[in-house]
Amino acid sequence: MRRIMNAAWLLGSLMPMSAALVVALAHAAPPSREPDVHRWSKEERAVLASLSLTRLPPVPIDPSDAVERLPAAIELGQRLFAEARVSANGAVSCASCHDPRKQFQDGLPVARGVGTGSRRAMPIVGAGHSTWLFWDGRKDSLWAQALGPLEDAVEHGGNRTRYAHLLASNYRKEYESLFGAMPELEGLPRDAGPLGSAAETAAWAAMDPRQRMAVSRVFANMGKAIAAYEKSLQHEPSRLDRYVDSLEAGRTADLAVLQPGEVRGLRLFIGKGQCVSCHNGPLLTDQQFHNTGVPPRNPARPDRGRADATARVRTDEFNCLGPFSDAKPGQCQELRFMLEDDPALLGAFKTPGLRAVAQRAPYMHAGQLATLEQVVRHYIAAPHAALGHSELTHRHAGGAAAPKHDERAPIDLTDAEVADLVSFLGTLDAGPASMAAAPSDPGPGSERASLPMDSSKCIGLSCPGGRHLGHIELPQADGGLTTVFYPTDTPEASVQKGPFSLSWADDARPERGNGRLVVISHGSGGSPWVHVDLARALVARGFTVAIPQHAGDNYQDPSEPGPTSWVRRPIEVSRAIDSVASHGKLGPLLKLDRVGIIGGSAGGHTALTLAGGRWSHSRFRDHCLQHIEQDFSSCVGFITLQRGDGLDGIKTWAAKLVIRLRFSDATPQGHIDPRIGAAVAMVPFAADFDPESLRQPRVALGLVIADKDVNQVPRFHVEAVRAACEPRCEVLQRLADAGHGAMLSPMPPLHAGSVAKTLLGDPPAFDRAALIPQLNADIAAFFVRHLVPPAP
Amino acid sequence: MYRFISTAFALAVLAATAGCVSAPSNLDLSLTRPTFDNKFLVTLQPPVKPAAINQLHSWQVKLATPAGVPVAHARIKVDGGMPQHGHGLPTRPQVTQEPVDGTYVIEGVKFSMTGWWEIKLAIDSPEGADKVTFNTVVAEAASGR
Repeated sequence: MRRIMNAAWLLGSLMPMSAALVVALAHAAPPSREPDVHRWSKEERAVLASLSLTRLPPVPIDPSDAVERLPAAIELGQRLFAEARVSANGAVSCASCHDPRKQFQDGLPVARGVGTGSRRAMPIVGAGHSTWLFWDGRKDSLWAQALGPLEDAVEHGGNRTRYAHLLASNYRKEYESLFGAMPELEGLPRDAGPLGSAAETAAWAAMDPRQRMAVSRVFANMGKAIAAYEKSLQHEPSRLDRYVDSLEAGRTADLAVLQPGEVRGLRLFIGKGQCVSCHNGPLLTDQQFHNTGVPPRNPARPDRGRADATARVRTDEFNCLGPFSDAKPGQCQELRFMLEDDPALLGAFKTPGLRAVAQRAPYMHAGQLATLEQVVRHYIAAPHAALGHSELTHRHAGGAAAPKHDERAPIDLTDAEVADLVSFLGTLDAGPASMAAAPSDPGPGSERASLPMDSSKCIGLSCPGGRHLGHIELPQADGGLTTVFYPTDTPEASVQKGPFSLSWADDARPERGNGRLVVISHGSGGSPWVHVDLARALVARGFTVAIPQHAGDNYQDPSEPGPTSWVRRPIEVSRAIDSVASHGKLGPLLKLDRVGIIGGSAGGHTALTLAGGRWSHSRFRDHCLQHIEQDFSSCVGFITLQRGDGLDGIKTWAAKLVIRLRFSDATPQGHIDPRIGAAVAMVPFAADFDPESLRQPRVALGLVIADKDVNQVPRFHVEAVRAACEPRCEVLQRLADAGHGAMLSPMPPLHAGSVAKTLLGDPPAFDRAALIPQLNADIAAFFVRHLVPPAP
Repeated sequence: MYRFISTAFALAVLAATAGCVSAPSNLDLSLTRPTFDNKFLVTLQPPVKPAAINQLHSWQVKLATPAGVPVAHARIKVDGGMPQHGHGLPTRPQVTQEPVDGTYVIEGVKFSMTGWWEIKLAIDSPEGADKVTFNTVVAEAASGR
């Protein structure tokens, strides 16, 4: 009786639809309702947009590091980054001064390794965008940079042969898989290097030149692996990004993410504070060197900054043109056109990026200033430089007259403006919890959650690579397949799946994306292919997407739909998460302590269950015995319709008979997976849920409502959920003209006059082409909101 | 995302580049200019494909006498910067080729931010030495991503 026809498989794909209308309405709101503080000119909006993380281009490829994008290099680099044996005393790792829990810095004025340095440890996330590394830019690549501290006497204090021995003894397999055979180190001194103590340099000089070259190459390769890891770290969106993105999208309600004082500070930042003239772009740095007259830490020996660094980088054996570089000389254009012999370089230091700056006191290149307020006041005071010339204009330098058009204006701010500017700088934080890696409840299969990528994820276009849709199928224990879509850089190819012409990159190498997983639960009799558009929208925001095949309720095997499947579905979701977690390529890229779940129709039932909802067979029975005439297909499935003829009564009678016999169990059904962090139910089957169980969903819950749904009549299902969960859930979209099939995209061909066409076909007024992409985008944004930033 | 807008269109986009410091509204953005002592007529040609912020790119210079005769084998030094920000160019661009007599390729140009930039050329040739300064305004592309 409840056998579901093949055509009905689309049902499952119903989920993603309604968010677009909300946005459309927001756009329609008259601009006069926008509070004044959020009023920006077109020019200002362009500047604001330029700061958004979504504008960050992919991390440039470094031709001098051939392994930087290899997962094995990232993994080795991550281990070496935390390896304390890479030091003279066995106690200093890269992470000692670049602590992943502290924005990859140490909170100290000057770095402390085996000794005390003379400058501030710099944060690492985003460093792959820099042409020149260190405060003075004395290195021209991330891998060359990583080598500097390793053999610096006061940082790691180690030496090249010590590191080569360490790698040979402890990381040989990993090293050789990336770089080929480890050279023969037998008989080489334990401690030797060109920069160490007298004994170390003497031992180095005594080595055969070929041995020195071979050891230096191991050393360089170590840097390349560390750089690969560092380059994989990405920034998380900040409140400023949410503000700017909301402004661009016209979501005026979301502008409240910044307080009025913070918005005033933002106006100063891009206006008369002149901050944006150097702190520009998505990383809030121009990556260049400036003398701004910051007082030296040691006035007796002021730091010459960039002026001393250009000769060093030019002669560095590890530079782009050197023997250990993987680049061709023609790829080293930055060195070729490097600015040298310019007096402006004296006392100049690199503009630091400002993301999460409020969490990184003290400030300036040697931690000279303790607070951001002091920093802002420094730019107002604009003191003369101790060495070289400050680019800032002193307020009284030119007398009372206004500055000429061709010089920098002094920066003049009131105390209130200073306070606003400082409060604005706090909006650049990615979120306080994000740096403290520990997942609250790991749950099964989430052992990879401790990977440090949690400190820095990207969204959408800010993700390095991953612009294409990758596709892989993972076998399920029950014989089905979990379909996984993910970001990849591999170009897509056309694929035909049943009636669907699709494209993706099959079994392509995954990119890290935003490190989060969303599971799509297909509808009754459904397939993954009717969710490809939603999956693509999610992948575009950096998500990996898994679509398990629900046993006995899919397009290949529709034998056990309804409550039998509803019991299994949430468990199948948990297994799919496990399966992705243990996949060799996908698992290491994901942090699975906050996973999204979305489903439509029966898939919406799955999502509601995982959001904490409890249902029972007897509630299903009771609903159908009471409302089968008004909600016929919910109770009977796709096999037949009520057609207003003499058979309706017989159909109803038969259906009630079967339902009464089969669905008497009153045991509440539920399934909690602690990894689930947000859920979206689209046009769900939900009449069998206990409303009490949905009053306080255990995770963020979004609903998609299609007002013209004749398959799951809204008032019995999604509206009942809404009535129970509001205000602790949100209606992502209410699609006034949509039917149940609005959540299928691509939409399968439906035969005119078929049951499926009646139950799933779009009503004539529904503008699928306009509304579905918007809905998918809004669903992706919902998951970014609730999964990508840490929970408050 | 970021686009370099050629000087020919710069006036139209001037307002859009404002940021914190607006370029003066009367900026002379002409791409063909006589040198300071009128010894040469110089035409600056921006790259065909606009370069992004902080990307190295190339320009071309056409050097001629005031009468329009191409001047070959000149030595040209490139300098410049942002007058309103008090800093120079982030790189040291160089003339690397003279593919045709009187046409020179400048490589290694980079702009680290939007706004008003000066490009200064110091020309030394058998016909004499002279200088010229061009103004250019680097803008965000409104639509670019």
